[in-house]
Amino acid sequence: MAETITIKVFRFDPETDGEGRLESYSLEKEPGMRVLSALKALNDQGANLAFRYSCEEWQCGSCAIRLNGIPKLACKEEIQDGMILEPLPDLPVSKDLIVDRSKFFNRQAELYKLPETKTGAKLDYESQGHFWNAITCMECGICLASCPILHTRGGSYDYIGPEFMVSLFRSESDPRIEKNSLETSVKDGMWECTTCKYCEENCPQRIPILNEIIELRSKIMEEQPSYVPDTIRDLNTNLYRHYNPYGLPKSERANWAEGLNVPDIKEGKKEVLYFVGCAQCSNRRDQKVARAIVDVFNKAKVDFGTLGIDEVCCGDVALKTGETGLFEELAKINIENFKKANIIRIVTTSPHCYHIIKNEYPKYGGDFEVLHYTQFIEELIKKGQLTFSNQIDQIVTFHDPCFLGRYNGVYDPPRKVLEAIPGLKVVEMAKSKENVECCGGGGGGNWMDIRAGERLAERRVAQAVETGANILAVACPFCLTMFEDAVKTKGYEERIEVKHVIELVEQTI
Amino acid sequence: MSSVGGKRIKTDVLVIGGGGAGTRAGIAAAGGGAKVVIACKDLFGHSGCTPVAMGGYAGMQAYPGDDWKSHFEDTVFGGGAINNQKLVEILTKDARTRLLELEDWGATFDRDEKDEIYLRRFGGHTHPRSAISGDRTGREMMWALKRKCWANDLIQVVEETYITQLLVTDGKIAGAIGVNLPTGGIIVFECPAVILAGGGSGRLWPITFATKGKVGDGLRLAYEAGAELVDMEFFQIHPTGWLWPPAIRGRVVSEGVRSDGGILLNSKHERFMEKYDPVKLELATRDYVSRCIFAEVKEGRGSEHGGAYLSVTHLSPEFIERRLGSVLETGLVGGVDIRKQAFEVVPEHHYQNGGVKINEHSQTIVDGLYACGEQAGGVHGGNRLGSNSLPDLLVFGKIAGENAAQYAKDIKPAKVEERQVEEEVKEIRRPSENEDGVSPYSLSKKLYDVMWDEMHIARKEKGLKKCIDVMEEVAEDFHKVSVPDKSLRYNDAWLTAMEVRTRILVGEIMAQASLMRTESRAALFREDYPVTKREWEKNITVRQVNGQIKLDTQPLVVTIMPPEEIELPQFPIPGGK
Repeated sequence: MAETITIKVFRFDPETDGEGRLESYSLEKEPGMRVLSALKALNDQGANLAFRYSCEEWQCGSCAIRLNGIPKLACKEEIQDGMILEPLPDLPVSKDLIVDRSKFFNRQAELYKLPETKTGAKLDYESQGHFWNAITCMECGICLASCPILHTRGGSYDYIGPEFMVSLFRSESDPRIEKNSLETSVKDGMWECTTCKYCEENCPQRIPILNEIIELRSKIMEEQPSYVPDTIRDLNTNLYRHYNPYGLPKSERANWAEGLNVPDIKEGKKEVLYFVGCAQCSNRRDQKVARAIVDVFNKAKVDFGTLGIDEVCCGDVALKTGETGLFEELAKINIENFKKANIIRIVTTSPHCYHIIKNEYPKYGGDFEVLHYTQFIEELIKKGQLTFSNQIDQIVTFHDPCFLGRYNGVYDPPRKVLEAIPGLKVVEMAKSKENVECCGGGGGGNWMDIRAGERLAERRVAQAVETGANILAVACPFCLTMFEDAVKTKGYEERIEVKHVIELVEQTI
Repeated sequence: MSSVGGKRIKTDVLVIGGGGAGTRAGIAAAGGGAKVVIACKDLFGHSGCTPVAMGGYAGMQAYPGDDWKSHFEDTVFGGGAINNQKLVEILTKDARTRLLELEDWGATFDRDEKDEIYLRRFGGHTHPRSAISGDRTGREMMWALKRKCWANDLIQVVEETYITQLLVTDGKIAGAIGVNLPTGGIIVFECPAVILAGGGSGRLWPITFATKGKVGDGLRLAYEAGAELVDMEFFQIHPTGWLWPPAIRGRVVSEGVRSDGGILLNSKHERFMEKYDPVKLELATRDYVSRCIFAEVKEGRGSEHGGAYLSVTHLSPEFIERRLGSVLETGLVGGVDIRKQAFEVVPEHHYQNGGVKINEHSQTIVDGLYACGEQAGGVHGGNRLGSNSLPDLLVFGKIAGENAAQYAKDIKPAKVEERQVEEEVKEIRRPSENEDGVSPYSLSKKLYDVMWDEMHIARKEKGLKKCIDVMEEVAEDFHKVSVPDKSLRYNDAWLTAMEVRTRILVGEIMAQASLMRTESRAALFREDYPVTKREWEKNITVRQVNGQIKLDTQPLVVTIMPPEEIELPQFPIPGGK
């Protein structure tokens, strides 16, 4: 049963056109029809579109294009009414949907030419089992087209990118060779990756790219610590000495709570442990967020407490930057303190803490129920413990934190909370939810300075401004810092303000 | 410089085709000191069948009791006894060495728990002898070959460049001419040696495993240059392509599924291979299994949509995920979870068994012209065994490269005849210069329809003659074909038109050869001549003589396995023996 659909396809002929344009086409869609089949059908009708393909079974990596802004394999995805087909970003367009991959091609060749020596070892079942995933890479370029950092490099490809990191992981895991590429990889940005995971989200082969990047970082940390960027070493030194990456002395960790009613978790049995997080303890701007949470908890009569100065960093930034040993130490300290305090539930400020406690701590015997504060606030609203009364007549757009959204599939609670605030109008940015573009703060990014191009946060706040919103709502300390800086550097102070969701909640109750 | 003003590239060896055979040939030629250009019709390393080849690489000689002789016998038996046995000897003797060499270059092949190379048994093989790399062995091979090419300064790769004609001066190769799709410009290669490694001709059919562009251009190039083609009537129909749902129709279901334990069932849930071959069961040769599925369908026991059911539900989900990942993935794209349900398969075109005729040095009868890989004929005879193609690529790729390099070193290069260049440029430009003519897509469809109807699993005289008639009709219309856009830059309509040019010729040659062979053998099933006849123990060759297709027969090349001692299986004939 065929149906008539209309789609838009990017057309560009460099010989005749100054710039490209989207052209509408109608066609008959057979049930389950793939995008590639639709393109071929259009050519049967005389459209003469230019596009690449080869195997038509999602294995050769030739046909990657953007579908509604997201890079995918044309042969694998189903065509939908209203779909927009565009070429991959960040590369010169040769014609219509075909891009010039020579920069990419040349980088691959360069990487392969890097010297390697044979170790004399043999390939064995176990080590092969370690990198069999990396071998499935078909070099389709989708991960590169997803990487927000590459969007800001003007097609220069001077940033190593996920695909080459997977390739490197493969070489490094192969016991038969020693590839002398670690130094180059660091120079090309091994620590610039923010671990946002958009590459892995879109990888057609579902390669665990992030695990591989972190393992590479770990390896470099251990074997070639002199290659590691200074800022990364400094933050880990702070973590080691002071149990937080900002270098705030342990004894001062609870100072943010001065003058507030913040119970000690160890006094009596509390329902909720509020896990404050290093940023909220250390930075003045972030301290306001912690105070807002405490204010809201008290007003909602939540039975909570904190660990005070016994709370140490959740360890996220140690793990993500490759300091696995340090991460384990920190995790064990927290887990022991959680257990001593008879914790039932944990609520975090940061999605990073949330993610780590939820997904990593169980590996060290720490199995606790953990919520991000937006989930907890949503719960309080549902239970009637919070009522919103003050109008906030603003337009807000919410930026999904990578570690709440993409990593853990939590998209609705922050939105439900915002929608419950009277007067507040919620609008969406084009790239939201699982397609969110990272603020640039994760994976050590908060501490790294970029080598070139626009900052990710600057790119993102421009997208926020485009929606017409005057508040950019965040739920993560890194997003808060990155975006507030970006608003200043872009000169958007009059147009948009950055606020944590909890700050809006505090305003309305 | 000629009057056409095209770009000129001078080199020693031009390899047409950048798959496994082409790259291996390029590497070998460069190893012999030659300057090499590898010209790929699409993206290097992403096109042709090598990067997506699933199955495995046969010839490891590691299983107890296995040796090259056993592999040889299986190959000739599977080939319907008409293989060129000299070539088969070379294949089975060298396969193992070439694989270990590729591993040395960085490729990884799966290990078993004892750290030995994991071996799979494929259809028609007596012993497990095929190495694998996950479930896309070709991808890993291509990766290692590609790196080796890039690391070699003597090798230049030109992508998206379509070679449309060879240039021959006084019976010797002088070069080639083609179009570079990214620029739309004409390129003339001046070189004394050309290696044809452009793969097979699966894209003559509307549903096939073959990747984009494989219409057998190399066959036309060879034929028009004066070389011979052989065994053109024997294209392989693989028993298992996805039949349902339509979104994934035609996608490949690797033989590896059957190697790893998959079973075929009819509409009555009977494992029908038990009655057709109680010993080899699902791992009988591909033609045999295809014919069995065909018989079941014809006798009313086919699956819901006219094929057979393939089931792996008795295997563990973990096993399926690790070893049969792509098949699982394809199923999921179509909404079918092979871990939980049986799925429908149907025979479809998979491989070109015949091709450009070569000797044991990969030489054709035209000086300076070589061929290897799927493009060449003789190695696999009337039908290829599973996992015998990947070793073919490396073994004969190397031979072609070495010989071409040596030849280029010894010979004084022939001068390109400008008149030939001008004539071909006219051919190249005609579709975009014709106005208001025939659409290449309508011609393409006519060709697809007749190949599907008359040139598939079962052929008969009437259908073959019809096929030839349609080819000749389309050939007439071809002169009036016109395409929009004057520029040849990524011009899909132009490319389709040029492929029609090849398809007409190759299709007709296949039909003529099928018509001439009045018997059934290996991959050729003549409904009107269902029995295998000893008098047909010979090969059919094809040449261009005075502009016409001329067929001939030649005696078999036999070394250690006399055909009279081979008892080929009797194929099941629907409705009776």
